[in-house]
Amino acid sequence: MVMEMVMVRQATPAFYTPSDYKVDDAKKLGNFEWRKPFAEEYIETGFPKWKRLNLSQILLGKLKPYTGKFLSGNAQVLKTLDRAIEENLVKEFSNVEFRGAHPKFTLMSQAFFNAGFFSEIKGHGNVYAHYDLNANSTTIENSVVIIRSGSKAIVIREITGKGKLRVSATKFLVEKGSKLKFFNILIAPNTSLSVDSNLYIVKEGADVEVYDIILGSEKVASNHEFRLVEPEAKVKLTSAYFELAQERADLEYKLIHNAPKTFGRLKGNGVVGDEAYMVFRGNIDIPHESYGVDSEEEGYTLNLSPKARVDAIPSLNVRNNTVNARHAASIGKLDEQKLYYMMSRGLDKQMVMRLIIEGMFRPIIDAIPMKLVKRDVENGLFSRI
Amino acid sequence: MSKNMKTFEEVNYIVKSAPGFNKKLIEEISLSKREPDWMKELRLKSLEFFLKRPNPNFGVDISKLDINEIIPYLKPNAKKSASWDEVPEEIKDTFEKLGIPEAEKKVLAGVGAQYDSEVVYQNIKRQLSKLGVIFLDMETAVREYPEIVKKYFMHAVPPNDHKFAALHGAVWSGGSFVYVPENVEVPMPLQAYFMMASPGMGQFEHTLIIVDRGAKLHFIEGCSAPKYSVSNLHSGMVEIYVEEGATMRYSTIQNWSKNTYNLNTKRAIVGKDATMVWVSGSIGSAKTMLYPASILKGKGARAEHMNITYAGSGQHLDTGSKVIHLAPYTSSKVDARSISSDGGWAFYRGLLKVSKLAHHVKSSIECSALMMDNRSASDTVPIIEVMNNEADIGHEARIGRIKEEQIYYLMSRGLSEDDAKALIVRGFMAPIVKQLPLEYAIEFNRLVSMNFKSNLG
Repeated sequence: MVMEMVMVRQATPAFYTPSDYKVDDAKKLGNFEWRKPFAEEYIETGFPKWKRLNLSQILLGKLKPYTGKFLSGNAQVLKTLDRAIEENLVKEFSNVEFRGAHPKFTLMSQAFFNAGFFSEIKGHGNVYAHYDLNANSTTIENSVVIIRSGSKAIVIREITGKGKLRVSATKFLVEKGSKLKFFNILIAPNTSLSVDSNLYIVKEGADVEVYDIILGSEKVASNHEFRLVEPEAKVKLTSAYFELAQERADLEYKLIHNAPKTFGRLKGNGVVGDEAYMVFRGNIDIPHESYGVDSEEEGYTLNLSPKARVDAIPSLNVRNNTVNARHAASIGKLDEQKLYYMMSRGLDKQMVMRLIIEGMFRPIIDAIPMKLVKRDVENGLFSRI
Repeated sequence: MSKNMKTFEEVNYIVKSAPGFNKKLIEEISLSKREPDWMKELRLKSLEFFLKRPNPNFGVDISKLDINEIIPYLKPNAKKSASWDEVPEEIKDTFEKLGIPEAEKKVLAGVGAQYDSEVVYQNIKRQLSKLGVIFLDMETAVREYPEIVKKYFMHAVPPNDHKFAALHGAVWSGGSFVYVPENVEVPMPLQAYFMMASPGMGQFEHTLIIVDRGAKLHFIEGCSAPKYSVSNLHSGMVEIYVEEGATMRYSTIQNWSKNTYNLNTKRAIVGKDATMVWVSGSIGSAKTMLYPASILKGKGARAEHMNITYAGSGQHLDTGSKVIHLAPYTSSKVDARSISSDGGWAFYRGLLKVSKLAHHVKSSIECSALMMDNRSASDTVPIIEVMNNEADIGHEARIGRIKEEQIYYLMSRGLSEDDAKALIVRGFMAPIVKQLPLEYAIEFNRLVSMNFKSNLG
């Protein structure tokens, strides 16, 4: 007897707001014909009523072109997305389904972006995109990165300052045998909402390392979906977060092993304090055809406050039995023995906490290849301790 | 279910309701059970909730279950008896084949047996009655102990909890009522056995157990049904109140036939320093949604959940556990194991919640799943919500198959491949299966041997 495998899935309730962007708003941003189909779908879609982020209303900022320069690097092709569209360079990904954190925000990025870049990397290439929310309170990014076969790329995206809304949708195509290191850094305390959606198509033998660093925004939704579409594709995501005050963050990482012998690791470590609320969601999906997959996820959260809340929702969906699939999660407080030991060596509590928290972040900070960015992360981190 | 069991046509029924759920039916059930007004009101209120509430938005696909085709109430022509000799032959025959009267003589303190909608046999050893232990069918308890039943009935699971709780509240029939007085330890388990014998019927038994301060009880629940081509629905409910310092152990083996939708609700409220242990084995049914819950309300309360799920061909078993820590110094441990084979689908769904006030909580959750082949499916989704920083929470899950080197090793010791596989699976299940009553443990092991065509006894 063959069973029809049907799972009942929960639908996210939606809401609409009269102040929402209209199709015509995309006109003043240029490349209207390109944006139009996304804008038309956008207006038909409601905002998600996210319980975890307490998102039941939204204040949208005025749409205007991004002020200032945000892009640098030495990739062979590196242009703002607008320019790349004008030059007809953006051809790939047109038919790839991209849901992201929620279609409303992904479509917002695709229809109303005022920032974002297109990069094609052949050989070795680096990209550094730094968005300043102080000068651009509403920053909507749409980016596309293509790493050609056998190439090596380092991409750093940094978002700093205080703004109203930051939304981004980024697609990566990582071709056969290529390597990508992506540092995604959000240091935007007091920014009302940050929604970040990232899609990675990872091909044969390609190797992707992502570092997702979150140091504030009042509400953060961070979504990274990895589609390992060819054998031997390899993905490793490490996230580090520190949420304080009444900040809320919902991190959603998905490993979709659409090919045999693919490898995945999700690792999330972080700290919450005050009245912050943190959700760590990790999904590992192994379909029937994907034999020999090795995939694990692991989350550890240090909770500093009796009023902070941490949710962990790791899920495994496995349809092939020749795999290694595992998840683990732990939530705890500052280890009193560690604290006692270090205080007995003459350090005060503040210093001990700083050392322990820094210890959690240090491996990621050390991996950042740019001194300037390293310093920003350190400052962002220490200002929170 | 043995082939020799009596079929639906051979058993005489005195009430058989038409399929469907409506106010008239509820009033008729209530009247036939000579219920007090408060119970009738509860049923009618529940029906209102049921008609308004949508289906659950998670879990198994119940789109093919036509609720209006389910026969909600079926009363066999048998008076409830305390002697097997007075139970009609054809019904007694069924329970004898399940070994219930024999087990009662040897290892049980009391038995309740339900056939379709009504309890046909209920008995408890005299010395326990003398100690004040009450073990009755639910209808009699409603009439004889109205104060105590009214205080607890559908308070742990209110009728508006979810659609099938509401349905249960409207049409419940049969089930057991157990009260264990303060500091009384029931030395042997009590057992309830549920038989759903008729095609297209719904069984909605209600089990209410109160273990008073310092008391101890082990309750065993078993169930089975012959297979029919139409769907049967089981939507029972278990409510358990474990008072201060008491210990309760609830063991279940679910072996419904593969045409059954098993949408069951089980919940325990656990008081100060009390212990609740759930041991659950799910083998049967087409689709199951079952998540026994422990609400740790009193300081120092403890819960232990041990689940084993075996999903074979055509089955989707969505099982799990819920533990809600509401008080400080409470602790919980979940050990959930599943096996999916021949295209079966085992889904572990768990919730662990630690409230703001529940400081110094300790909890560990372990899920392990064995997939026997590539036609089968295995999922785990444990949700963990921790609302303070004085909690020590750990969770681990793993999905995999039997390792070839394990099989190879056993084969090098003279076992056939099938025997080796069966032995490994048994070993995987052993920590939980050995917690089940012996006859159920044997049943589980037989199932594994059959699956692997193994000759291991």
